[in-house]
Amino acid sequence: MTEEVLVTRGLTKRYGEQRAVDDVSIRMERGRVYGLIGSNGAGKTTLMRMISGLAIPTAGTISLFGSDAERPRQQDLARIGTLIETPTPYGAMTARQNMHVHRLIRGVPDPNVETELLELVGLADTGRKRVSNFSLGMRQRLGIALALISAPELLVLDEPVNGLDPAGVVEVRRLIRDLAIERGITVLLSSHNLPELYQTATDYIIVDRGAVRRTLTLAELDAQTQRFLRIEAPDTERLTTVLEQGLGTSDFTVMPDRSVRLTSHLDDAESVLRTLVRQDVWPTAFSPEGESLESFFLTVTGAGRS
Amino acid sequence: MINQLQADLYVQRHSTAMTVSVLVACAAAALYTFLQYRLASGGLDPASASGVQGVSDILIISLLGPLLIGLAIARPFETKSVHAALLAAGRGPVVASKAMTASLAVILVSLPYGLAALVGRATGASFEPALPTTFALLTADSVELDAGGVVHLVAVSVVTGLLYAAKLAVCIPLAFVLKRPIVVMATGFVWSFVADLLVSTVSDTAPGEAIAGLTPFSADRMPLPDSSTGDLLTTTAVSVVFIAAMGALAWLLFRRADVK
Repeated sequence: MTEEVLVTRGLTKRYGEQRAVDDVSIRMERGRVYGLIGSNGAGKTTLMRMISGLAIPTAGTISLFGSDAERPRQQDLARIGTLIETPTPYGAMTARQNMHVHRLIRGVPDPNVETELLELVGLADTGRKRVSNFSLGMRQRLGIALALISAPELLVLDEPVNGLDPAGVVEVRRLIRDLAIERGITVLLSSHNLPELYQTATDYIIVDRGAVRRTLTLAELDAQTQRFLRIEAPDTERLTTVLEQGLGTSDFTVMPDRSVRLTSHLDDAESVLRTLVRQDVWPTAFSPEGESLESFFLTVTGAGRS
Repeated sequence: MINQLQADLYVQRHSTAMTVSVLVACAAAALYTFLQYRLASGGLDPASASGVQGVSDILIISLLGPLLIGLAIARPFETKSVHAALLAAGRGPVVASKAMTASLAVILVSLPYGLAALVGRATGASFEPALPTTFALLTADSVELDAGGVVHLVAVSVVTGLLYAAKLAVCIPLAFVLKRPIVVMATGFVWSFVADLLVSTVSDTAPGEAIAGLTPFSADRMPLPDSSTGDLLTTTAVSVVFIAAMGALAWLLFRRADVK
């Protein structure tokens, strides 16, 4: 049975007349990585702040870890780790001293956790170097280590790969996946870039102008954004036989409308067509279709229409 | 709350601003005591007393105190460590811890003046107060210093530091609202002088005087070299209650505020 870590119902945050978050109802389960995707100003950070108890909702409820309470209780909030917006740890201190401050704040008795987490994020060898001399990527990794210090069950990361070089992005993605798989941590991470989150997250929440426009799993996203050749022919059975025997592929799906989606040979459409015609299968429709991640995101948020 | 307090004190211990402020207070206290000696010995013209006031306890603590309060409270908002504190303990303990840390910081920068008074008195030299503040009066006190006198001087110094912390405690809610140490410093500096003027005006009437007596701004609350233990305890109680009241006001303001 799946365990609910977070449930929001009708969550709303208004600043005057402006609705930063509008009637958001989401459900998150243990050990999954949720990508919160939206353009800048879509309400991602405000939503994360409300979940973390940093902002007070105007309306709606937040239930954490199966609690019946309508507002997060202190003991539930203590099970959350956050990295919201750019981390700016104490610049005059070293990474270890910053870890020590957060360990004291969180009341974690084991001092070894400082070393373990610094090793986990690759900052164990920074020694006496002050954080003010760290690169943005190093600060970002330190921010993640600080968020992990209390062994949270829900990790809220706001744009955690901002400022990281490509190697750093790969490393943080791997780290987030490992945290979810090995430690069963639920992760909510935001980005304004769907391709950036692709395959890091197991589930996607697409927001725009404060509202949730779409939620979907990775498998559903894959299905939505897969590129394929759409082929129709008068005799669908004959068409699939030729694909199997003439092209030697089984990478196709027969859709309810009897069209066929061929997901291989995308770069070799001409040879597919020649093979079909040679076998006396005359397509009535033959076209490459499917959306890229970017165009899918733009379609969902409506930004593509303009 | 103990965890928050430990963390806040650790941050203060490693704070450059705290170290520099204590060093500045030490240097100013030493210079102030020396200049008061020069005033008494005639080495310095009495007309120069106004210049000497520039390194007096009231000026230096009114300047450094609000800055340290601003830093102790506002800095965690900049470093986002307040996020972790709020997740771990909630708003009440965070406000209480910050109020205590900020007050301790003010006491700490006032203690060099007590130490300077102690050293000055131990030399047996004469001193002329440039301003009639507690520390200046302690330094200039002519009573011979014995073991009991040392304990009394230390007690008066600590209570005076606490009184300064209470007078500047209005900066606590201010720092939670403004979250800008420099603005808190400027406002607190102006406040420390305006408050005394306001209280002296209010104290012209009997009810006003009674009310003012319950605040750390009353002239009656100022510890003197000959203050009794009862007087010191009263001043301590008034100061602690006033700091707690300002902490409660800060909590009311911060209770439902959004944290960036």
